[in-house]
Amino acid sequence: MTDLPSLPSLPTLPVAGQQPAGPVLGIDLGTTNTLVAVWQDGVPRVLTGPDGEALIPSVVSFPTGRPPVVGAAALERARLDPQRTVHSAKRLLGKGLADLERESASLPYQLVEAGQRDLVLIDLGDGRQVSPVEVSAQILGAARRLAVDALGCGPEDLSRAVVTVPAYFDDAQRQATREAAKLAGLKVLRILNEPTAAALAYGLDRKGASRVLVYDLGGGTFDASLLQLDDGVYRVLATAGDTYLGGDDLDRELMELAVGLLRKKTDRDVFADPAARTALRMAAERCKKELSASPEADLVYHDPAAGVALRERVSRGQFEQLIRPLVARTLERCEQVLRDAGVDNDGLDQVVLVGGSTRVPLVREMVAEFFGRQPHTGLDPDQVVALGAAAQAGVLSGATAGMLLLDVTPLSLGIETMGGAVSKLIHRNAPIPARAIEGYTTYVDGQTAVKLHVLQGEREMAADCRSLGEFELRGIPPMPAGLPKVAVEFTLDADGLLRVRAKEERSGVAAEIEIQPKHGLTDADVEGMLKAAWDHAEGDMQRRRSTDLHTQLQTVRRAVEKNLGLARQTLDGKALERLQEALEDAVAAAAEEAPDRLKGVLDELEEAAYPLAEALMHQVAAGSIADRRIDELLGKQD
Amino acid sequence: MAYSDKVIDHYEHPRNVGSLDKAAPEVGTGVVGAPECGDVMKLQIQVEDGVIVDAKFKTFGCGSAIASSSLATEWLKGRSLDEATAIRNSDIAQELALPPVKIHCSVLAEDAIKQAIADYQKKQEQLAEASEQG
Amino acid sequence: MSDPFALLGLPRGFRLDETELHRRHLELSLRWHPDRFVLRPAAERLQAEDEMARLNQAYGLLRDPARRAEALLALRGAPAGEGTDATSSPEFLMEMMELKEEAAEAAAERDRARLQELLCGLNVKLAQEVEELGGALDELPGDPVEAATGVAAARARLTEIAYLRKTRETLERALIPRA
Repeated sequence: MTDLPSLPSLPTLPVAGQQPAGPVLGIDLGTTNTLVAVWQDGVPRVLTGPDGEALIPSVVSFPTGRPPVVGAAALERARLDPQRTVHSAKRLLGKGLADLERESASLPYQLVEAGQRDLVLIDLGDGRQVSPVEVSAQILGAARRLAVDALGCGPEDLSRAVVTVPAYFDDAQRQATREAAKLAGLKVLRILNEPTAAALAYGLDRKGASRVLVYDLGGGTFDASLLQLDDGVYRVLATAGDTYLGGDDLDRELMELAVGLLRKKTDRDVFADPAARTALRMAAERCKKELSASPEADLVYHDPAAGVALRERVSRGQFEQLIRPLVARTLERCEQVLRDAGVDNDGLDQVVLVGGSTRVPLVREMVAEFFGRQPHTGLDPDQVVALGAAAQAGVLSGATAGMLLLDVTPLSLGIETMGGAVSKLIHRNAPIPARAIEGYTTYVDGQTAVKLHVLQGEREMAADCRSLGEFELRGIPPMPAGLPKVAVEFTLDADGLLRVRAKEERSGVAAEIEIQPKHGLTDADVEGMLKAAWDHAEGDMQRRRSTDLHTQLQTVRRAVEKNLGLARQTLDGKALERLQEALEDAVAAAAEEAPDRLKGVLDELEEAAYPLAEALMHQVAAGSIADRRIDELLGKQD
Repeated sequence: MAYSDKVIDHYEHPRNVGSLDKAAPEVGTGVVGAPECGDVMKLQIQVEDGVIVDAKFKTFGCGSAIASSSLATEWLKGRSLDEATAIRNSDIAQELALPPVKIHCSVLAEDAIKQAIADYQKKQEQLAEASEQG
Repeated sequence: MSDPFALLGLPRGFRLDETELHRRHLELSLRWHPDRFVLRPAAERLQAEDEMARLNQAYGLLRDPARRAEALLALRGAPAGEGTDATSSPEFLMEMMELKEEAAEAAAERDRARLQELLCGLNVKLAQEVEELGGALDELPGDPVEAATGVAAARARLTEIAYLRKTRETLERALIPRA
């Protein structure tokens, strides 16, 4: 395996049969942000960190020679160390390099193919490689730590979770999510579909029967699910989606616009430089967000090193023209869901918008037009999935007897038949758990073995579907073609885990497999990583803390250094001297490992920089100083 | 080329897809259906002096059926009607781990050939009767 | 498979109260869904999982009119044949061939409007066919000998429906957007 970064400290795994005392966590592992919630006193509650913030940015930074940094601290490192700062890892889960061609061009970090299992890895450029599973494990570990702090219970009590995934995630992506949780020391009680989770939260305080379509446009994925709500029973009627369509794609349209404009100004390939890609992505995202609130926004990018600057005024109409085809694609999926469920528009009671990208006005507009009604926007698009996950966690811990979720499988499952076509056994939207049996025979006289290739997807040819694994049924006595009777049985459990059995009925020979993740890690990999994590667990806590502090210190330092000129003009001698001393201490602390000492240096620098921040505020004269962190204010000069 | 590769090649590049003139006296047409999966196959042969000079087929969906029809139509050309009647899927007997087939797919092409030959023979008989009467 | 009607506690017959079907499935789900067994021993949980899978299978079967008819014919001792179709006329098969050609053409051209139009027409025809078949099935006499002719006719009808359904599947699949 690759050089592993050390993992968050893990407590001992719970002994089978012995239930941990703490609640089951509901975790929304998002492309952009991650949240954790619990079921408490009959309601779901989103947990917040010490700063009152619930969102953990789904970003992990892997500084060379230091433990990984997760969340807001990692986000701060994105421009500093783009190559080793991984965002949107969710889009890479369970994927091979070939799946990610278009994707990889706009990512600041480098993707490489790993060995024989066509699994994608992120090359950190310093001899280390990490898998998307490991990145996700870091994020889940951070969510768990947040919960430990918020609830004040021991980490060993918080070892069970419901983790959400896009409904349209395939088997490999679900397995990868499960492995990530395992690496973070979490036992996954259920992989829950995001739109279903949203519907759970939506239906909590609603009585009676209603039919709801959940339109979920997140950071990286789109799902549409149609549910029947019946006094606490949630029945999914149909679901459809696209695992490559989300806010990231809206950003990319703006990125491409910027690149097109930059090409006219410079010969330099902006996309080739990781730092530039990060800066461009952030600029695009900022512009997109502004356009949700105002009719015009600036797309701002400058790279002093290359002498390139861009400030382009983008109108909302211009942006809408760029993203209209993407939104149209989501509506085709909605159409499919209605068709699959055999429900027409009039049969719907409500259309519920979920996911941060539904804040984009054009999305709301086109959804309203398509369904001929105003969609429900009363849910907090950021929190609703986590709240629903907590509700299901409540069900699975036996706390909510009146609720039950009946879910479906999003994608068809089948086997390859002679000639490369797919024969489906379980169709998409079949309620789970599910089972099916089909009869087959041999193609060639005297054929003594049958190859069973298990597939997932809707396309007709095996080559166009996702391969889940294959096995052979051997030892069939030689018979003329067409005579053997091969019964193939699929069983799919409530978690969507598939088992395939095959039996030749005349001779009684049988074979079976439980589908193992083809794009994931082997059990041995996971065992090895877990062991490595146990071995490193002790020292990790302290090292992680010192890494966090180093990141913060570096951010404040950079901000102060950038504004030293202003400091010399505006600060009195005493204040300036203090600031310069604090800055020197900060520089000297670069090799410091003790968290307490680092904290002291950071506190002093922040305090010493306060007069400078005030001076800046007078200059900027816009925005409020309240509730802002020093480095944020100093960074405003960007 | 390995046997299974040959079959897949026939799916990916099916030979002899198309139609012959259904009304022509030298053309025999067979249409068979597989109710289990709802597939329909049309297979046509053109005969001159008791020898099949051309063969065409059309089918949708079922991969095994497409591959086997493509193989069968290749095989049919240049054969006499008697030889064609004796067609079987294959005589190869070995340890081949091929994917399975739906039961009906294993016989679809075979039945279509038999029907096409029967159709041709019926036309010839009718022609003979007509010329006797005329 | 065992009798899906018995499994869901419903009277055997084509005409079926859909509300009652959903209600029965819901009731049994509340009883058997594995989520209800999280705190129970593993053996009980596995049993529940298996039971729920069977219930879902039966539910899926009865919810779909054509598959419901298929189940009724199987219960009458006339399951679907495994070989090629021996009952449909060549003319009918040719007609089906042409319909499939048309569908394949529209699919190849990604002509959504045309696909939707074809699908709509097909759905109307299918609904009508299935409705008529259902009526015939429910009027079959209980005695197997007396019912034999009717059963054979219903089987032939269902065979025709199978072609239409396959064509519908092609159309529906062609309508699934691709990234």
